[in-house]
Amino acid sequence: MDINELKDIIKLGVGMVVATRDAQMKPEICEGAGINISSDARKMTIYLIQKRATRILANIKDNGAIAVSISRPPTYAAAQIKGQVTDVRPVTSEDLHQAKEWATAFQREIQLIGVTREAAMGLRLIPDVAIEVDIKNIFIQTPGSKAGQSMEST
Amino acid sequence: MSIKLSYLDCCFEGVIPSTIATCSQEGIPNASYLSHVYRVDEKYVATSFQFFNQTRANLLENPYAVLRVRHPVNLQSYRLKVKYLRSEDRGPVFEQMSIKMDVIAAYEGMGSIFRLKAADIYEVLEIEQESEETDFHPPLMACPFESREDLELLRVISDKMNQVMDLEELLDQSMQLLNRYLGWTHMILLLADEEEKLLVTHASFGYSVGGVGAEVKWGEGLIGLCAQHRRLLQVNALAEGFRYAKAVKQGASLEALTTRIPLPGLANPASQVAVPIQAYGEFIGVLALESENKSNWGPRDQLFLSTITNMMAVGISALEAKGRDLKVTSQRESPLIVEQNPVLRIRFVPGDELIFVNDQYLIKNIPARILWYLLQTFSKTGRSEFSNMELRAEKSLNLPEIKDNLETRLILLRKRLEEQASAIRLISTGRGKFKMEVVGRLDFPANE
Repeated sequence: MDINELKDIIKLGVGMVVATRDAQMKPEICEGAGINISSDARKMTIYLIQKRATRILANIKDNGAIAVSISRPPTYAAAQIKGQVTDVRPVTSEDLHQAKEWATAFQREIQLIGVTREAAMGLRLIPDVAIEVDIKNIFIQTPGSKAGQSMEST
Repeated sequence: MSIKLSYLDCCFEGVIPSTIATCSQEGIPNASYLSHVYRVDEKYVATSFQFFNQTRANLLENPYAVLRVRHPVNLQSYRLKVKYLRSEDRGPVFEQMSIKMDVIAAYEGMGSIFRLKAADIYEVLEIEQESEETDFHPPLMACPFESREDLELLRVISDKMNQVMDLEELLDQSMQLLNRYLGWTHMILLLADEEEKLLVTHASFGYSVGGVGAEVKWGEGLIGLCAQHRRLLQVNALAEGFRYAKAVKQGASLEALTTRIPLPGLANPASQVAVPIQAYGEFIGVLALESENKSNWGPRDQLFLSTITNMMAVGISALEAKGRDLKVTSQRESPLIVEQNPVLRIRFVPGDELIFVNDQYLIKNIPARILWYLLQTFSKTGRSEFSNMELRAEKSLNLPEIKDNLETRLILLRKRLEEQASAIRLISTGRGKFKMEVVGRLDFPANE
């Protein structure tokens, strides 16, 4: 998998989880609500729903370390992006447009693994916070021999 | 802990991938998808260790982690704050997880890659329900088996099962009851042939082809693995095109295919489950179910399945024990369809123990030997009345001494004759006695 394949997978629809940690090195997890990677893969914007990410946001304020894992549900194709948060801001109309595209693709993909249409469409996926991240590493996470390798080295 | 861990059982079925967050000693967080989370009991969960990865490296440095699991029906998610305790490469938790991995590996054709190295055990410190995630709030089936209605349903099913009069009725009726009272639509009941290490289909429900006589070797596919491990096994969220028979068909020789009775199966099942039928330390068979709609067989289904197969097992054992009272066939006397050319060519292949009627494969092993004996006796002496006692005493049949399963073998033979060679019929004439009706002239071309 290279960066272009990664972008293709994101367009097809991916589940995404965000991990941070507090000052005592205890991790926290929440679901993301959209992702947008820059063309040079050095920066990304991820979208969160504040109400479900209070501890994630507190951790970001504390130290800014972040990891985002994305996975395409029907195939398990997955990657993890690690980096440092540079900004936390309210979403713009452009962000909401990006997040809507992500949500539509995600809702379509999870129906392929047995989730009913009613359940998929019932998910509340409209974000209110945008997180700007400087990307440090991207790792392949698809189960198999390349899992854990840095994307640059493949 | 306000939410009981067992309340989340539906989340552990693997339909929606779970996720885990860990953190290294240096403070770099890690997020990862998990193939499986297993509930050990009300306090502990386990995840599978297949590959050494960053999650595992982090856990060895810093045992605190957060697991996120999701209900497959309403998509409600839960966060489990956990502490990694140890890894087990043997023992009951490891064994149970390992079998599940084997099932998935068999379906994916990736046995060695998916081999379980260890079960990572975590203590669950806290469970939180994610807030306001969905507008979809369907009425959920009771996850634990707790409602009075379920117990009442079980009583009704057990009453009906207790009313059957013979083994054949029990085998056929059981699945009709499961369909009527639990709504399950596609089922196969297979009985074990311990000697041959295989399972033979005795009854099915919901398929256009009955498949009586279809065989599954121990260890093959979901049903064969269920027989091998004697555990309830299930696969969920199957990719399009999977069938029970897929793993069985692979590697079959051309010769085997000519004598293979196809196992019934849906073209595109969403999930399958196989449950062992066993009683008093004896393995009797497997009940296999599949569905095009269900995404999983949840804890409620599993409790029903385990309890009902236990009842079936006791019923089968009891009815076999009083086998001398069993009818060989039902009393219905439908007219025989006589073909224009009533010659019945019978070919028995002794080494492989196969019997063919008019070049059509009929059955193998002991039922084939029984039919061969009946036809030869009829042909040489004209005698058409037989008894189970006579068959048990007949040396050429070589029935197992301890448990011969004669009644179930005769039921199987009668059903196969009904399907494939209706000119030969076995009809009950009383307890442990039957007569064979043959319409046509018997011809034994190669064997005489």
